[in-house]
Amino acid sequence: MSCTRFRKKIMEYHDGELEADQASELAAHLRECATCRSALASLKSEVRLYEAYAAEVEKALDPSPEICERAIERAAAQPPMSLPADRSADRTWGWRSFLQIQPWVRQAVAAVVLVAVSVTVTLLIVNRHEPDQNALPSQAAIVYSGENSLDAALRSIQRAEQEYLDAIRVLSAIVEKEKATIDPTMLAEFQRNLRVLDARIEAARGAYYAHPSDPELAFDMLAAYSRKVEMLQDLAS
Amino acid sequence: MHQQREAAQTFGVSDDLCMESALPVPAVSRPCRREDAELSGTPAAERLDSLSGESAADVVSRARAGDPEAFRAIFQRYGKPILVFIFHLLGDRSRAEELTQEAFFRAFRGIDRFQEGSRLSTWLFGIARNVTWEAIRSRRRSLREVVLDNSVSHTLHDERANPGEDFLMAELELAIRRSLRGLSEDQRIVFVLKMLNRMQYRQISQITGSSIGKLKTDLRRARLQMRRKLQPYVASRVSGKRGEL
Repeated sequence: MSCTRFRKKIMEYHDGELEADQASELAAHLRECATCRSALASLKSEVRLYEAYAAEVEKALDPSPEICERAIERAAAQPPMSLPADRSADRTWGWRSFLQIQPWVRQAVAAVVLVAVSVTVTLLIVNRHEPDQNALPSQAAIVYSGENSLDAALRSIQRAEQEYLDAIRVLSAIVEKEKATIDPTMLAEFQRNLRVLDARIEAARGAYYAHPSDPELAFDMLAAYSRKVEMLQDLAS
Repeated sequence: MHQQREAAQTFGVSDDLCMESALPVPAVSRPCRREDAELSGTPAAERLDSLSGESAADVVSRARAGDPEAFRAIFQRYGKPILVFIFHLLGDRSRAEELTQEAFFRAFRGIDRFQEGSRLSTWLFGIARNVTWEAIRSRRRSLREVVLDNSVSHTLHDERANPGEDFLMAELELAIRRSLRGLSEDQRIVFVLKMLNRMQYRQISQITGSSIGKLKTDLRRARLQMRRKLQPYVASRVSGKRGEL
């Protein structure tokens, strides 16, 4: 066996991933080749170094049970979490189920989402700006100060964006389901407005992600999302 | 000292230099875990997919029936590996916790899509990988991409006997995390799964969808890059200087 071939298999050899005959062949080469023995020793110490690092990280990290509870809550709020066996292959069951519930429940769900957005986005990490309480329907105020605050603000903005996207998804599904019952003229106008709004959202997102530390751009992006949610909500109700 | 010599060897530093100076080598050193060379048909793999004595298939069945205890059992078994995996990819503890929640949310919600005969760990790691890359891509230009979380190192070493070594260890950890973030997505994931999680290529291939040949190429490049980035740090330690990272 050549050293080149050994080097190609060295990781699998080290990790015991080779078939027995290949492993024997490599072991025989090792006995004869000091350079490859040295390469294997080097790999072993490299592996040990990273394993030690991994062990330190493992020791330091312990997931809070809250992570699990929150994931369970969220999954329960968004079926399918527990499907009957005969529906297991139907991936759209969750949406259909949602659309079959009473309209007032759907609106309530959407309202809850909006409240969550409002709460989430109401970040007052003071210092640099005086918040403009009328800047958004959710009366959000995002002000940056310092690195930690910036981190928190960015996290909240991302959560808020996700909430808006979730709300938009839910409401769009309702509109899609009921569009046959909507007046065609009204529907056409709605779709035209929606295209304009989508373009605005896209532009606002681009501007914000290019300058994520600019609160004005964050407001602008979230306001655009909020406008779309309002429009969909109006049509859905 | 033996560990220091090995680390020096890893990064191409001579033994002589190694003898003269305390290298920032982790205090913890495990033997090469060939016996738990994880997963893919090995007894260790079966253990990984066994939840408190109950088979993964049974727990998944209960989860599909909506039993919250089944979800808790899954989280209890995989919560930590997934959190650690995401942390390795991101180097940020709070984001790793957020994304762990997101990964388990998606897993719980989509438990019906888990295919019989698949390995639960592979499925969960795949979801975690997707969640993490989505998050990274959506915020690629955000400032958070350049912020490193030092909290893990700081909390790790407070109670150690030798503060000097603790500092060095913390510095090395930070250097590794920083270097990891310099790898491309493909390189980073194979490096994390192979070198830090010690998975076999077959399972990594199932998680990433990449061929084993590609994984090997990516890993080779990743190891080289990591070595290049860590070498000045280790070398400067040997010569008694602070490394610039």
